[in-house]
Amino acid sequence: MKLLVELSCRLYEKLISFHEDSLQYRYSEEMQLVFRESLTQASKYGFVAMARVWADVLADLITLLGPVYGAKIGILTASIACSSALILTAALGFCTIGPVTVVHGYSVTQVDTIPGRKDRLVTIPGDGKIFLSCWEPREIHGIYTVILATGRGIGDHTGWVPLQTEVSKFARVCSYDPLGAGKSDPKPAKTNPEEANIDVLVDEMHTLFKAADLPRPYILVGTSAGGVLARRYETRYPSEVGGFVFADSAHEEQEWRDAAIAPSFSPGWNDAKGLRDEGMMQPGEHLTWHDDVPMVVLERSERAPYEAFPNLTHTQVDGINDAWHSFQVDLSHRSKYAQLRIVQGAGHRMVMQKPEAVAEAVKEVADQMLER
Amino acid sequence: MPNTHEQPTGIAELLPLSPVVFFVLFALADGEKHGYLIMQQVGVLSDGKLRMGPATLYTTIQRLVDQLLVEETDKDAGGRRRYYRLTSSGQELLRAELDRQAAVLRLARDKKLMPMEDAR
Repeated sequence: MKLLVELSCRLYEKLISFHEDSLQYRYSEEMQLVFRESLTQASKYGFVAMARVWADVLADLITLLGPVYGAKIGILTASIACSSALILTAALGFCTIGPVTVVHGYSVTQVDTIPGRKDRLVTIPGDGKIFLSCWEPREIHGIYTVILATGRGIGDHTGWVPLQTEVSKFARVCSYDPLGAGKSDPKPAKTNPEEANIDVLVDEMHTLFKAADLPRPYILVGTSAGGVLARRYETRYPSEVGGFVFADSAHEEQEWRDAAIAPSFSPGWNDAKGLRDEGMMQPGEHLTWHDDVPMVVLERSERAPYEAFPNLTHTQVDGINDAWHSFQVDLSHRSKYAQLRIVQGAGHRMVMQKPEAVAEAVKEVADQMLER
Repeated sequence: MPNTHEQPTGIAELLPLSPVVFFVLFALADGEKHGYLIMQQVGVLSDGKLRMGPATLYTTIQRLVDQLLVEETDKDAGGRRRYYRLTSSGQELLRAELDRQAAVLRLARDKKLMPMEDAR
């Protein structure tokens, strides 16, 4: 049943991308959360109840997207009809399309390296069992592990699947569910790992990697607030980390800097404890972190749209977008090897939208790390 | 009793409310809630007759937030979950819709289309 819930949640995450951009941008995480809760609740009453949740989702899709896609399907049908007519007349010899008549055969390239996937529950004495999923190619070059950092910025390991698939073509790559998320045991005190103190999460990661005996050094990949988590990990365990990839990473100074642009955008900017728990800087404090290791900073090309923030003026949204860019530039000065790259067509959910681009950055960091 | 209170400009144009909008506002009438709670409350209030998926729920919330009828609260701002509550305009709109429904019921009762106890 739990597996069915997980699979459904993954499928639902994909379905969200069909909805309008502004809905996705503002509410995709919450929609996933609501779906997960509805389905988990329904799973207690059996398959019929779960099917009813899915029926609601499908009804959503038809009601909200029917009119939009209906028009597109109309155009598509018309163009298919036109092209079919052309191809048919050409095939029957009534006319010729283009100057050549050579037909090229093509084949779909199969990925040669089918990753070896090993999922396991690692027991952390006193805490519980943590789900760890490590994938690796048939041949591994070099001893290191790519860690997809979870606990901030991404809900559980399922969010990493597209990227993990790409990276596992060339490296051992592991994702996990922090205590309280996905397939791991619940956390005794707090249930949502996103709300836990960042140092508690870092300790949990460290214990997990050690217990699972993951080969070091680690290349840490963090997205959104996961970037802050990855940097905190390095601060605590510097000798274990050999490189970083930040995928549209958050920045430790963003709370107070954004509050200066639009206070309502960053309501927790002067909540000292909240900031400490999140690993963020207190108002006016500056990030001093620096680590001269291979590092790629990936920034989204798509700016947050005005309609995503109806309570902010256009100038404020512009300011928030500009600040976000300046954070990425700043991060790219945090190692002498760091590079900043804009990922075309990517929004904040870059790891889902452009997994190939992120995987390419991981490959580069890995190659540089092995050369050193 | 006839509807005596003054409706703010624009409120009347939003009436009658669609069932989804009405029940989302109704669900928020007794205090702030996050998405899943709103969804559950809509189920309870509509006696299980109105069901919706997360996308319909959040499309509605998005529209209500944009129209300043519902607002996000500061509660739990650090987490992924946001809480929503009615603004004063949202409360006005809900009250106007309830008044409208009450007026329809009264009319039905006057025309003897409904027994007295059902109309109460």
